[in-house]
Amino acid sequence: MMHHSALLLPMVILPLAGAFVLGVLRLATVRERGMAAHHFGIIAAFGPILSFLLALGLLVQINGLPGHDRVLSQSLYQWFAVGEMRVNFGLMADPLAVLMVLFVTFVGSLIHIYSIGYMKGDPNAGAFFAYLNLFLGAMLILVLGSGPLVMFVGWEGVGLCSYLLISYYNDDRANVAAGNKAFIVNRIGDLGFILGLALLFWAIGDTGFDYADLRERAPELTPLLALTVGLLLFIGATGKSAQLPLYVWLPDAMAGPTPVSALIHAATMVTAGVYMVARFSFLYMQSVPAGVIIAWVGILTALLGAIFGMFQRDIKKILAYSTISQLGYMFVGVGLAAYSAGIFHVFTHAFFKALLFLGAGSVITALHHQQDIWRMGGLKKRLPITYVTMLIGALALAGVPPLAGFFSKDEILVAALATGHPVIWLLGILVAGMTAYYTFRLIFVVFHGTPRDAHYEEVTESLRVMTIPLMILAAGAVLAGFINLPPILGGHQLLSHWLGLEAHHSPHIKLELLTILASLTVCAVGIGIAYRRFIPTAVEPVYHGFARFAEAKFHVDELYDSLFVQPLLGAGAAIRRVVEPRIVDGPVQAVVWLYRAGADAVSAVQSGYVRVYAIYMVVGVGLLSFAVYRLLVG
Amino acid sequence: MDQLLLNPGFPLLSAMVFLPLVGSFILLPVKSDEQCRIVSLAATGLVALLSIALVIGFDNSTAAFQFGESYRWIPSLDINYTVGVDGISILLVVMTALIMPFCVLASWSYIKKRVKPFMICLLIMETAMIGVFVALDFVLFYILWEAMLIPMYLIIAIWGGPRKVYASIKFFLYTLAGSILLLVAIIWLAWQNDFSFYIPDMMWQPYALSAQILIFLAFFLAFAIKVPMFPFHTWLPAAHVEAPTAGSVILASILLKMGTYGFLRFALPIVPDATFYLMPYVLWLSIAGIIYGGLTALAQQDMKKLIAYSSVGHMGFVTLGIFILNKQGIEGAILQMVNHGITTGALFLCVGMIYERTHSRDLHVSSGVGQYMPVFVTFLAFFSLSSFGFPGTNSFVGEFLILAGTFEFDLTLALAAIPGAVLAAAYMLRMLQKVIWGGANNPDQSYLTDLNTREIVTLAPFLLFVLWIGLGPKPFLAMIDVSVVELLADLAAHKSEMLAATLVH
Repeated sequence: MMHHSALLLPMVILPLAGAFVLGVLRLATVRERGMAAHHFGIIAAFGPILSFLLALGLLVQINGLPGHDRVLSQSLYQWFAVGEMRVNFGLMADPLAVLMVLFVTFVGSLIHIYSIGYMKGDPNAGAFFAYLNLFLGAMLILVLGSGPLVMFVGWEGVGLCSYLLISYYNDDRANVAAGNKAFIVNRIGDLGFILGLALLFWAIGDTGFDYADLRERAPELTPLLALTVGLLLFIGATGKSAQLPLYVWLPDAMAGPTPVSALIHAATMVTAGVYMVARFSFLYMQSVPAGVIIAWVGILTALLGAIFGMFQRDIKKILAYSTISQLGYMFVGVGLAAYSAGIFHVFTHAFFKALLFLGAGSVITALHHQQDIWRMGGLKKRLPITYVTMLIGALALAGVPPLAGFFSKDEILVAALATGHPVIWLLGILVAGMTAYYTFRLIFVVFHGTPRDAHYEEVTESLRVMTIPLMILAAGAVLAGFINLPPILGGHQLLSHWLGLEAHHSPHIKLELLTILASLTVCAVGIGIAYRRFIPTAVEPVYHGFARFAEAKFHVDELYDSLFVQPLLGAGAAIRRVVEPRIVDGPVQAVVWLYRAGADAVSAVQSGYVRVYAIYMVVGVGLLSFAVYRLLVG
Repeated sequence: MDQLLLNPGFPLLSAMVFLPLVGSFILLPVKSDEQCRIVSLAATGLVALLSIALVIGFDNSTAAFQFGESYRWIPSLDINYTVGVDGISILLVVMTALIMPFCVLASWSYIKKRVKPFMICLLIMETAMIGVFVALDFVLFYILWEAMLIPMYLIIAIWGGPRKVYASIKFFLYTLAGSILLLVAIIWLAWQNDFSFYIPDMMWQPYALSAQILIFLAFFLAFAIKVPMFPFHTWLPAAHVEAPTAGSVILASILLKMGTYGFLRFALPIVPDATFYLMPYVLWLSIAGIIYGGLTALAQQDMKKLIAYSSVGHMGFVTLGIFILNKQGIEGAILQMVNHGITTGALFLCVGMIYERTHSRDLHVSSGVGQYMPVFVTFLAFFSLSSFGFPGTNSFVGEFLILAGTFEFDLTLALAAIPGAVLAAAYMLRMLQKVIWGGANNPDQSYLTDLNTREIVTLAPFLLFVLWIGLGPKPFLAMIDVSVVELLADLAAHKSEMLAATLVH
């Protein structure tokens, strides 16, 4: 039984309307350069803030429903219908969706506000804020869609905004190329997604294609079908959520403005794949192997991201690889059917990773767009608020109790042990240590030691409009973990119960203790190594051997380029130069040539000289006479 | 299917067919260029209004030909002027009528010389094109089918670009050569049916399979060249590149649909057994077109060529949808014919608008235009998104239906078609990002002016339809539905009849 909610549509419409208004305003004023950046920003902030308030209303509404029956919906209209295929355009919210929209609109609002400061004086800020609003609207459609195809509208929509914002600083061709790369890599994943949906429709879609219909019929799927559909959909997730083998776009995506990296490429959009798997939990419950494969892809991606993260020198790239790595954890969670653990990590990660990115943005603007950590150093004195807030984010990311990352990461690792995957657990612990190391490598090199920036003395803390969101997010990074405190630490796993995504098992006290001890140990070791290396002063290292290979990201980009991109471009060029004119058009040209040759042969006879024609006539008359003679005489 | 609902009232279809022709006569004594433009706009606009009346009066619940009219034309040969529309042709007729006024608008400043003859060509084109979609007599169809070539040839040959002679002659001869065998097929079919040229009479007859295959091949050559299907497409890029904007729009939006319309109207119902027999080849040729068109588009520098090759890929999707012979496939294909008409037509309009400013279609020359023409690139972005099937735009619905239908038909085929969608995103984004942003070494574009009101008015309706069909395609699908159901039911019935017949023997 679904309950109606009238809040869903306005929640989606508000940011979209904001995008429309901003777009029109920008087009109208672009020539005069009339409107200041912060005016656009203030208009842009309305949509997300109002949507956040509506999300709070939604929370109240859904908590008013009986515990086993918490689904709100707002059906809009039938999108299209052909034969048995009937697709509705509607919105739907269950606790999972409500949690998502709550933090998406909350973090989104903060980042809109932060951007007012960050984008100050930017001549194209109108476009920036229009895209940012559009992104939020699309993200809400993704989360609140009543069926997979509506989700796909949002899914592609957020991808488009990501593309537009990555290419935002378009004076540099590399940024535009990064945008293209992001879009096309995602597109490859999306086709897996679409194929999965088509297969799902073919198998069980003929009685309706909303989640509610699919959930009812999912048990009819054969194991093989469930596995295939599950993996096809996951291909889409590997694109959007930057997992192996499609993760390559995310580090390049850091070319966009830093608030975009925080909102889209860390806190919200990239978690869409995790959300999708949780949303389709009814499907993945039909296929344990699909989930295990997802978990393995997740943990390997987590490991790879952490390895790369340890050797990068661009502050945003370190954070980008960290995001890839943390997303890997989330997939371990949802893959092993610990949906609430995975989603819990999505939730906590949104706070501390957005915080770290915004902090990095504050550093970058303070140093006039310097992103190399080896050009920073000693900044804690010049940027005290940024330092303290980023330190909190780093502690949360490294998994230091009682900050947010500690609880959510451990819950995933416990699930790995509980479901009988000790190798995944072990790798997860290893990655936790690496995470602590690279996070504090960043903090120590950037904020401690001796200054390396030439203009160190002129560096000043960022505007209030930027530091206040940092402080709010820091509070979130401290507190977010407590909403799902496990029984072993005196909590009741409130979030897991509220989400109600999986059957509840009795707590694994021993496993939890073991995990907590192990992760605390590696965390301490990771931070310790970083401390030994980079305190009191850090020296820029020269990498050799494996480290150098890791710094070059195992040359995966180059490999993909020579394996896929160049052959395709080459094929296109070869077709244009050779195949099309010579082979495909060849027969046509041959026919033309034949006609022309025939015409030339015939026209050679038509010399135009009277004397030649006279000879033809004489010969002709002669032949004719001869023929007549033979005919008459016999 | 073979019934014709005669229209006792106002002869709407004939009015739509002949009004442009009347308009071209009115143009003859007109002196000033400006008046020529206004008269043409009025004539095409009137037809567009009539097409709205057609939509309002159209009965979604029957598969019969509606708005039928039949007059004796050449009694000694039993050739009649018979016209009517059903679900398969209605959208194409309406699309033709609605697009033509915008072709006039797009030529407003683009065509500066010999305005009157140009407009006369456009109007005659419209008569022939609408006539082709509504003709129910095969001789009438054939005459109009060939008649289209002449004004189109002139449009390219007189108002075209530097290589206009080559392009126009190639277009004319290639498509003409393809249609010769169509005439032979028509005469054979009429001979088989007591010399009736009435098209519905020829459908669902038990012709021998060997004869059907020959007829199918004759149809195929004519229609595949028009679509154009790989590898019969080489006339298209040449013609597109040289044609003036209005010519390109007519080519892409309407002329290409004649081929796919031909498959649906003639190949499926007249030679169904041959269709079943040869279907796999056509399907794989469609896949080849999707991939080949996409790869080739990726390598183009000329924007018109890029869009022309993208058409080869998109039309590959349409023929794929038609020949998988199921409901999603065919309805998706018909919708996609309309979508391609809207989107590609709009893209050619956009390229024309750049060309009027920069006098080049080269991507390098146009790079970084976005900074000075923000309104223009906003339109361009929407049409590009539509072109590669972005959800929420028109093409997504069509492509999704075709893909879902293909999936139901054969998994391998669906998998083979999928890379086309990645390629489409790749080549459209490549064009879009060059035009919007370009790079560090953009040519100086500061002399450019953004779109004027006439240009915005020209593009806005296209955008409206892109979003309308993308978000609410139901009214469009509803017009198609009954006719497609009937067509498929007839196909199934015919198949089982033939099966029963072979069992008896």
